[in-house]
Amino acid sequence: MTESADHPKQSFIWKYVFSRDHKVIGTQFLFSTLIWFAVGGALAIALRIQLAWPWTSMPFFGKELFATEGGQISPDFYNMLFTMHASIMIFFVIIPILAGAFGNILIPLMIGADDMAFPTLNMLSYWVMWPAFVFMGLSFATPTFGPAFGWTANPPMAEGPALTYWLLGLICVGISSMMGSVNYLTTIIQMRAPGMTMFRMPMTIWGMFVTAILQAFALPVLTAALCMQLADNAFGTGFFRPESAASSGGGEPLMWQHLFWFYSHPAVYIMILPAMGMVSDILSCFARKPLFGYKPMIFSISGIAGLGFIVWGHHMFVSGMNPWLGTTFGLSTILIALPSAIKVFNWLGTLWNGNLRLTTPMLFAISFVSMFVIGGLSGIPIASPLIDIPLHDTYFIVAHIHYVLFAGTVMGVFAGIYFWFPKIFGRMMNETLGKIHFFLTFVFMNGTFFLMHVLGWMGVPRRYASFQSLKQQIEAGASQLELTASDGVNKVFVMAKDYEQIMWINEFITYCAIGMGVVQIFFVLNFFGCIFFGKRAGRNPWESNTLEWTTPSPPGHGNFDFQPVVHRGPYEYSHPDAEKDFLMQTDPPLEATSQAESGGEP
Amino acid sequence: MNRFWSILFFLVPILGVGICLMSALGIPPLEHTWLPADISKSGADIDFAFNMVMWIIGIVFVGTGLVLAMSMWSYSFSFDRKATYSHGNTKLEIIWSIIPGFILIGIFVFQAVYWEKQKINQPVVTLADGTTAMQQPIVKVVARKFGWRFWYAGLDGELGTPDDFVLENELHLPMDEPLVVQLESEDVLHSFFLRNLRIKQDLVPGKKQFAWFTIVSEKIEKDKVYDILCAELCGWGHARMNGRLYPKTKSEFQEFLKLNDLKQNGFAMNEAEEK
Repeated sequence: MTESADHPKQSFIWKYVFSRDHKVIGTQFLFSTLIWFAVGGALAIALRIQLAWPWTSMPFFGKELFATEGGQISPDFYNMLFTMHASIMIFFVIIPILAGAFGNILIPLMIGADDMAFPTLNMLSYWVMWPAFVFMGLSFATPTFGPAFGWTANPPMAEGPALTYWLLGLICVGISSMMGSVNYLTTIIQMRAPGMTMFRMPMTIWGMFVTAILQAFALPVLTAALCMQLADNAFGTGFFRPESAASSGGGEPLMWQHLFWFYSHPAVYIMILPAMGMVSDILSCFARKPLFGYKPMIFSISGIAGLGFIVWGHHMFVSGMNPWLGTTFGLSTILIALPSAIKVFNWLGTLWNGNLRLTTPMLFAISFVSMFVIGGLSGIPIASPLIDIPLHDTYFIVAHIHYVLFAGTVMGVFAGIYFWFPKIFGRMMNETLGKIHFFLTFVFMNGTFFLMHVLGWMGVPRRYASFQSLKQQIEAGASQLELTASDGVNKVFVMAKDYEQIMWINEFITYCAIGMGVVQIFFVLNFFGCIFFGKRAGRNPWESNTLEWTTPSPPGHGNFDFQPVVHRGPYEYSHPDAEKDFLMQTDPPLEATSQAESGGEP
Repeated sequence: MNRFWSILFFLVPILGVGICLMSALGIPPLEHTWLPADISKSGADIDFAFNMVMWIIGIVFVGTGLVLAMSMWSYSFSFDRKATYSHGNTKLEIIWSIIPGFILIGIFVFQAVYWEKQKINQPVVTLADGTTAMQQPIVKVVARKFGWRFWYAGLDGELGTPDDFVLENELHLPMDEPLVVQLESEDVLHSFFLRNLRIKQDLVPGKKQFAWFTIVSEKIEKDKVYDILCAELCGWGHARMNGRLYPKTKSEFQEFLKLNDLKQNGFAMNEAEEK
């Protein structure tokens, strides 16, 4: 215990606002990201409304913002909606909720440390997010031309003051992530409790550890690229802007894509590996069974991370990159499906022959596995450069990313919130409300995202504000085509039937998306209600093995009221020689169980 | 309650594969939702690879879903028993690493052959003196916000000569012969997307690229026009950047060239000189 023993009394501001306690910082991240999650979700529903009922009056804000158009949003505004939806969900929700919120709260608790290695740096990593929030807000509020360039901000289309704010915002997010990752790496390497060898760490910590490595190595490249684009945009340099009528660049637009995806593809793993770790722990706990293949699980996340650095080109198969490079990236991308498959098989092996307690966190964790199978499998066709040709930049990609990041990561995050809520707030969440929340989210989520695969293989491009213009052209019919065709032959547009299908599928998806948004009310009620009125949780309400459950709920400053000593790995459930069906990592060694020890001597 | 959740999770692969089959077989309400009609010579390769991968992932999808649902169905919680105490099984780990590994590499090798045809091996022609050269493009596609400008090589079959002419958003092409088109962008990134030809290629400003394909007359529906879409976000008019593809027989195409040659010769020359 470093400073807790003679810790001076703190004022409210230093205790709850500029706190250096990892749990408070984690909770700050948790609340901020949940608020941004609501904002990002609202943007998604707005753009779904546009897609289902194009150019009709937008409810709630249409009349205020677009009074002269009768509440109809503009195509540019539609582009801003999906740009900000993606930017917020990726940079303000998923990355900070996994690394910032769960990483902060769980790393010291699960490895038996009293705080992070660098508490002040940790505090700064949260407060640097605030300039990012402000810059992104300014970007969205830029009056004439907002951020309508997509979250990939490809030059030369991306430009203007909105881009400057957007880039500054992202640079701040990068600084925050970098501070976090340095801190997590140091803490995990240096501050483990006695007996906590690397191969006794829970999968959550392994997920965070590998993620921190990914961030530490990939972020500098993104930051450099962001600064270069900032210079292009603000000072007229020509890193990415080609020689053309619009600019005197001499730069290379493809270079931006390479640099951007060099970070942003590993970022996909940054956005899922910690969730995979949390899900592994939750599955093992509620299956009352050791995690199947602990070491293969570690090797496969390391494999995913390693390969993750050499697959970025699969975003660029048809970008104009040398097609030979596409072949190479196709091979590495297809191979990354292998460690992902190994993880799924091991999760199934964990459930098989278990003694399953289907609590709310368990249901969310199982749904992570079930949905990750879809997201993983739909990655295989688009990993092949050949099959990617028709599917690239269509709704198939939209379906794929949402099955991985929403149906995967967000389900894992919900599992994590329901699971660790008692530790964070000292009270249990309501199980009935939790299960209703799970069921409705699960159903509406699949209703929203599954049919997007169908739109994808039909060849419906993404980022279209409406498909109505095509439909109207068809309805306007042959006369128009006869007029424009220079040889005067009457021709029929072949895709008429397709566009009718697109319209009803889009409407169906929108109803499901709205449903999915509305049912989050069960979560909000449960979450805020139980902070104040939930049933009090003891130290270890789920009868789990890992170190955080030996602390009081919620843990005080300095976390542990005794020095934890670790005697075994984290997954000793249903041990035949143990009385109960769980053996905590700190429980004294059983006699005659030396063969069960998975790690070295403590 | 366990059984309820078990069924819910099993419904995922059942409904998922069901939707894919309905779409593939054209069962209402998902008729006309499978891959768009293929009118090209090489599109069948892509479709075959797609179908093959869909079958493989469909089987894995149902298989994993079944195991998941069965474990939920069979192993519901009871205080009377303990779960099997097992940390894993090396033999199983090896089996489920090697088999998927082979399948994945197999998919890669299979598709790589066609990828080479589609994107790497640009068609060559044999010249009179016996040497080979890259086939010359018949049309230059110039994308700009928000439309397509098609420069035709004209009767002499050569781009950049005075008989070139330009049409907006109208691409007329002869069938049953290998074609090369040149792709350029005037302003930002666009993507030349012909669903029915399984062609997609981003256009990068400052870069000259090519796409090649053969339109097959037997696969064409009579008097039909096919769409040309932009598949890379290019601004507010991205969705309205629609061109149309008019497949023509060889003689029809010659007539079309003559018609435009007579009608637009003077105009086209001026435009070409301006360029």
